[in-house]
Amino acid sequence: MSLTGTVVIETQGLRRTFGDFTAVDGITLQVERGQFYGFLGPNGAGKSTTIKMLTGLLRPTAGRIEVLGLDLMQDSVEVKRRIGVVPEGLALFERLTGTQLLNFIGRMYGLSRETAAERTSELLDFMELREASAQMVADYSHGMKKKIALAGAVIHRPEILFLDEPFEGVDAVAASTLKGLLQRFLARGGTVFLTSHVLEVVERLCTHIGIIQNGRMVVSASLEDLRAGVAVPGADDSLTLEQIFLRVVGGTHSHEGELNWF
Amino acid sequence: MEATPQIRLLALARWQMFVNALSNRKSKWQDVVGKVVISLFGVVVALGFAFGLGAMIYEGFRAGRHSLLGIALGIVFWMWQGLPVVTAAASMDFQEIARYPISFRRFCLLELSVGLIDPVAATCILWLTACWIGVLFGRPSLAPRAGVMILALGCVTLLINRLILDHLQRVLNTRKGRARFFGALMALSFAYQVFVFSGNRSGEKILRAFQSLSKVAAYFPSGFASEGVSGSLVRGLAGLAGYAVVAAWPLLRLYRRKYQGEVYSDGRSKVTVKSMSAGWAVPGLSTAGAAMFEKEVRYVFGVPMGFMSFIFGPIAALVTSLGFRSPTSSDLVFPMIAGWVILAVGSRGYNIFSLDSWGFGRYLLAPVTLREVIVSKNLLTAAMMVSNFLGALIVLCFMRPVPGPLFLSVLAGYTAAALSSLAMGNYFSVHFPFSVDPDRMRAKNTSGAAGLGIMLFQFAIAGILGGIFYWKLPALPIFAGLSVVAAWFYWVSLNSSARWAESHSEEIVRMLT
Repeated sequence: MSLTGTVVIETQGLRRTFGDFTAVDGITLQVERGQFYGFLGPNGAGKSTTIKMLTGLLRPTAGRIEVLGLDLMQDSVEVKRRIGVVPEGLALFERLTGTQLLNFIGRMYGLSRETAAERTSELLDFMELREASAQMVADYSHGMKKKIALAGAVIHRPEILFLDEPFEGVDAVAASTLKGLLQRFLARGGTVFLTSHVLEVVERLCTHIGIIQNGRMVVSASLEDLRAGVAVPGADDSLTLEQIFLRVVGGTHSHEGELNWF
Repeated sequence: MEATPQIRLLALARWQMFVNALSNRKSKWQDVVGKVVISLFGVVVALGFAFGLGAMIYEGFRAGRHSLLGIALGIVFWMWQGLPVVTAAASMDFQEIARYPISFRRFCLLELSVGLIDPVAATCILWLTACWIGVLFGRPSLAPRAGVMILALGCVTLLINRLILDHLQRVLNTRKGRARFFGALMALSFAYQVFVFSGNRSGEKILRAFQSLSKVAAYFPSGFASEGVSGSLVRGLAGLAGYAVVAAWPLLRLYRRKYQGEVYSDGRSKVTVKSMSAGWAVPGLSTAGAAMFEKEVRYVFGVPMGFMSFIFGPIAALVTSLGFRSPTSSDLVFPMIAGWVILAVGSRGYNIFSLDSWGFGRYLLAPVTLREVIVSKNLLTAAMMVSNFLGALIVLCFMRPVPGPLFLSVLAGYTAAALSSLAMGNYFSVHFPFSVDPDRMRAKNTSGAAGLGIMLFQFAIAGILGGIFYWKLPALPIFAGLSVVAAWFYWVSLNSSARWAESHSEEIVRMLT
């Protein structure tokens, strides 16, 4: 039975304010099972705030979130059991070794001791972290931390992965490992919700794109529709995702005449 | 650009950092007031000490006791060397100045200037000035010589200080180095306490050792400076010059390496691939609960001297009971150690998220409730309390059996105090979380507001327990009753703290990161 077509992430009128500042302003979106959804936007557009709300790290000021058909506010523990997250800041206990950390995360998600140990071992091998497995995570490089965080996000075999800037500051070798894991996850029927500034990666991996600006959703469509000019008037096959993105967020203004001293 | 404006810029940068720290978004008004009060207190103490030093030298010189200058200069010299070492892990790092387009000579000058901008250095310069003023009024004819020697001593002290601190910086630039340094400081502090408590038996020997040390003091820079004022000027200057050369040579080599861009960091450690083992199974705890408890224990043992939290009681029992000579007074040791353990170990429970920092978010992402998280952390504190209590009891019984009624009373009192402490700890932990870097030496381990509340609470507990023993009230029934009340208090506090944490998790994350 094909599960494609089932909505697994749905928000309605999602809003979040910090004092007078509105970070997310009434976002409504739908992500279906099996989609690789790239959530894009300029700095400060509200991407991280949105992903934090979708994963239960932030409470919305208004609006509704359903993940896997469950109300996030009502069934947060059940939702958390079925999703995996690489959050901003990674949320790692850095004074554990790589092995201890993965073991810990696996068991936090209810895996038995034996299963957690088995999967930890396999993930360390896949992520090429075996040699650093006995080192404290605090001593890992940035790329290694990202890899261990992603390993921690998938150890319990989630149905949806939420990734906040997983490729930021990661070298090409580590990025290739991360992409390999994500493609394997998608092939198994998983859903990925990702924010990233690396548009080349998004273009290569994502099937669907959402663009947020000033807290509002300005585009949400499949990559094909974006390219075909259905979602963004004037766009065509010849444009890269970066060009479409700049057109949508209005980042194409001329800098002529500025910084003349430079 | 001339060197002077650059030095001025450094001073300005340091001042701006201080002001920014006061107006930090995370700073609560209590913290700002605390910093201002502490700064004012520091200024008053520094000025008071300066006045004391000046007066001592003035009186000494008037009475012909010139040796007092050596003592005063010695105090300042060791303060200048010692205080920055203790606070080094928290001091600011100007290593980045090598990035700017400056010559090596100017780089050295700026590095030395950084040493002078330091509050400890400023205070020590104030004290040296006070010493000179004391000489000026006590024996004006010696003032010019004293001025030269004190200035020379200041320069030498600065060189030695920078040499020590720059080497220390190499150590502190790596996490492991910081951990080792902090561990060594804690070990020294502990050794000092053992030294003081065992003083009853070896006080005279200690005094003699100190007296013989003071003879060597004449060969320290402060000793040469004093010699130059009241003895031979040439010998004094020659001694200081010798120190200057010995300190300047390695310092220049060090600065050269820094200037050329030597960066210290944690290198890749030796690869040790360990066989995979399953995590702990803890009877009575769920898989997630056992995982969280295991993580807590591993964290404690991963912190420098963290293991001491489990054996503090027995060591204190051993050291303290050695200090008491009469068998009667040893009966006081058990309740005293029990109270001490509650104060020392129980204080860990007042900021249970202190080591989590960004990791706290992991609890929010995982399918566990914050109540379960708090319980796992309480279990660790409880395990420490039990370990310390039993350890102390075994040690004391080995020295002299603890009478049954005393044991029961102390056990009941300890239970009441431990449960109350855990209950209050949970309240403070969720309302005033405060992130602590275990590899860095810090003056405080809780937020300012929490610190005050904890102190009041601990005084209250100590007062109740002490009062019951002092007035010889029927301790066992009272403590047993208090234990029941404390258990109820703990239960209420656990639930309300967990509820509060769930609804204020964003605030906790913000305060911890």
